[in-house]
Amino acid sequence: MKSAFSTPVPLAVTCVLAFAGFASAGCSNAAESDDTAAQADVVKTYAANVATSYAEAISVAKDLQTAVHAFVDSPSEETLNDARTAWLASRDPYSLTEAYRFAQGPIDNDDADDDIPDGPEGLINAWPLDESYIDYTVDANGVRHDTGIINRPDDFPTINADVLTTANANPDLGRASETSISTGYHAVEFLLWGQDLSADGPGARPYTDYVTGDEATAENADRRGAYLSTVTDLLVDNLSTVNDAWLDGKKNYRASFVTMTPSKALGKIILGMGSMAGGELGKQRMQVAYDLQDQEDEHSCFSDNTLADLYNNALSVQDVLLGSYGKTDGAGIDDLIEAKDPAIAFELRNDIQEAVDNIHAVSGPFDQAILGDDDTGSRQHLHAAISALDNFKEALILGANAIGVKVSFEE
Amino acid sequence: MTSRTLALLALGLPTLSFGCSGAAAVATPTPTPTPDDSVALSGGEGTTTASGKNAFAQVALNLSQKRRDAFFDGNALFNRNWTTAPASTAATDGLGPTFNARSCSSCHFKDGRGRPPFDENEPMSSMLIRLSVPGADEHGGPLPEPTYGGQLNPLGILDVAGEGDPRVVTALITGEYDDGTEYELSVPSYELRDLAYGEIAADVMLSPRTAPQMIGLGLLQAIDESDLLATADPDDADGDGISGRPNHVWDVASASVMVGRFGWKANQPRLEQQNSGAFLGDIGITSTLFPNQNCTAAQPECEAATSGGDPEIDAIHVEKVDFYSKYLAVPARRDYSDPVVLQGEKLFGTLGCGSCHTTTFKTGTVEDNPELSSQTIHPYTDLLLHDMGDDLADGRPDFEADGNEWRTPPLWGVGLFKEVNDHTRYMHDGRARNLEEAVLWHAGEAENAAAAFKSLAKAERDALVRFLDSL
Repeated sequence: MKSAFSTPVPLAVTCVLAFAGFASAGCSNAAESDDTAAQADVVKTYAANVATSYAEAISVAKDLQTAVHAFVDSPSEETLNDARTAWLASRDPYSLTEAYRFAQGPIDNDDADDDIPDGPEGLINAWPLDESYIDYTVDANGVRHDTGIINRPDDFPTINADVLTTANANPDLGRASETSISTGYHAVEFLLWGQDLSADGPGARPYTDYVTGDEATAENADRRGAYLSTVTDLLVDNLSTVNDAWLDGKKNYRASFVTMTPSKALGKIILGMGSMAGGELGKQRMQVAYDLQDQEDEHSCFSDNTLADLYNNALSVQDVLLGSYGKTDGAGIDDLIEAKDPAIAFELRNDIQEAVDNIHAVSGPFDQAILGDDDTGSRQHLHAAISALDNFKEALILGANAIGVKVSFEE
Repeated sequence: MTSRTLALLALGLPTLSFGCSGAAAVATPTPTPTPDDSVALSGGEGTTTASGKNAFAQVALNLSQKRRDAFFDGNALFNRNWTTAPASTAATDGLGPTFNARSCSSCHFKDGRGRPPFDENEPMSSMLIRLSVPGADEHGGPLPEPTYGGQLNPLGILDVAGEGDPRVVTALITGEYDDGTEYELSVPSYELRDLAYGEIAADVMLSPRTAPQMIGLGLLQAIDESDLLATADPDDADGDGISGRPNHVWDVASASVMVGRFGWKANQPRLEQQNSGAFLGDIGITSTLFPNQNCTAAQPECEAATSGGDPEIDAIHVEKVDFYSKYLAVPARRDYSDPVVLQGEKLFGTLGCGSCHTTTFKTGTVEDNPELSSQTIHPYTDLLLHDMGDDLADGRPDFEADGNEWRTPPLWGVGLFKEVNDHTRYMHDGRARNLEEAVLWHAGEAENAAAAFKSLAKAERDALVRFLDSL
């Protein structure tokens, strides 16, 4: 494991000493079964928190569904604003679930060898959205292109959930990554806000894109409304599958998860949390934008909600570490590590808090915060958050080792 | 424990065995492995001991933290789906107009190896088909097919039709080991269905190629040209039946001829050109090196499609992807001191496999890239062209490579395809369904080695495969 030897010296020393102490103390059966019981407790707490989080996410997604249907049935400035408000409200709870990803679980499992169905994450939250594949866009010269599924009634006579699912990722191609991203939260966002053409504000799609007659600002208003309501319904359906897999007391993924060997379940939990913290949040979602400073290189670019997404993502990692949900602290991975090596547990709690605090301190919107020189306050906070997430991932590898779990994170 | 022990040894730290398995766990010194542990460090000091699905997705261990940012930026761009232009995400729009995939990682999934479709009902998704007609372009390269260009792009953006639907049809043939055991091999043939732009040239030549694993490419680039040429024997002067020779190909940046190193026919001189070539050929993204969209005169919709910028990927982004592709770590060998593996390793030598699959190189000095410099690596390739016989031939010349010649592919990582990519398909078109079949397909210059393999007892054949699996 590279990381064990590239982290600051004190930690590496701690680690080697911890192993030595552990080994020389021997491993009695009693100590081992205590460990197993503590691990099982963490696994159960995690499962309960996952279930609560998805239940919350789906509850607000249903509010969004109601607001979207109200808008499509009767488009106006007011119903559009209501739908946008509902979209923003739906984002926080979903972003808080993202540390459950990358754990070969119901949200995004892609392992062909197991009996868990492939997860619908790609239909729920994929990015970057293929805007021109959905609806009209305007190019750099201000020329509008009436393209996309909405404006191609000959090729897509019907708009329904099956059509949109297949258009997003042709299942025949058999590879999750091969998609024209056109469903999920960001598709709803694009259809509510429109392309983000302004330097410092969100997209400004008029509600009249959804009306016919004199007021109309775009062709195919009815098809646009059908796309928006269908894609929102589809989002709720896909969230439901994930939610169902975690419901308590059912013959579902949760049932097998809490009964598998605790160390195996812990491996999945840690793989998910570490991949989210390091590779996905720290690198893909933050560092790349920080380095390349490409405007709109951000997840919620149409609504300018990216900073809130990132903040909640960091909180989701923290929740998994601590075994907490909101204010309720439970048995967490940190407690297991604490029992073997308090210094690593301390480092982990510290790192994630630092990431959370620094993201919170950035003044948005994100696509503005990444601009400018490295000594601007926002860039300093972003940099500090990225480093903290990096340190977190490195420490997590040591922490996992300390509790007998070997993980390899995708870089 | 092997891998952890290895990393500790490699860094000169004390080795300890730890963990609890039953009540008997005690700290025991690891048995002294034989042979030297350095044989396991396939990618020099950058070798990773990661395993599992992400075994190919690791940064070189010896790349310092402060040099890793570009790697991660490149990684993100490697995974990112390109979108149809115009889009809000202006830096990554410009997909197509026709294309094979929307992202690099689509074919190089988890930085790993692509495969052919398992049967004719499955579309081709992580391999491609090169096209050309007899003759050569101004630089000696293949002459693109006039209507479809140099590569079939099965997909298109909404307003532009994909070029066609390539399908693989297979037939089984049988053969026999010297001990009478029968084996079966799967022989592919290709059909181009639903061609969207009219007839394809009657004399078109096809070359099917799977996406290669991305590991260790910077190290292969770092091998001094003189060291490559030193192993070449174009006229088989030593009479061993093996005449490795370098391809000489066109380097666009320097507008000169260079030795080819990358690609199944060593038709790319440098990784940077390989990458930008793939951006254009596979995803339809123009770059500084390749500024023109690859639409043919028969494809006016392709010409008329909205561009994602001029070029579509700018130099800074290309640089990040180039950096990334140079620094993907090579996984360490597993089970390298297992007696059966050692037996297999010995057979690899006596059979003559190492005549082309060169075990060890020491890289030269790469300016500003000390991590790639002076590394002792075990790629198991000479990067040279060899006649592999008529059965494997694509019959399609590519610069100096003739229709029978293929570049020796590196063998590092071949034992991990199963873990990383859920398949065990080998050779340029993925026809071999496991490593044993891969050996059996060898012919031409490798005829003697393959014949020697067939003469082995089953236990010996298995040992050779075990050795390959340990790479």
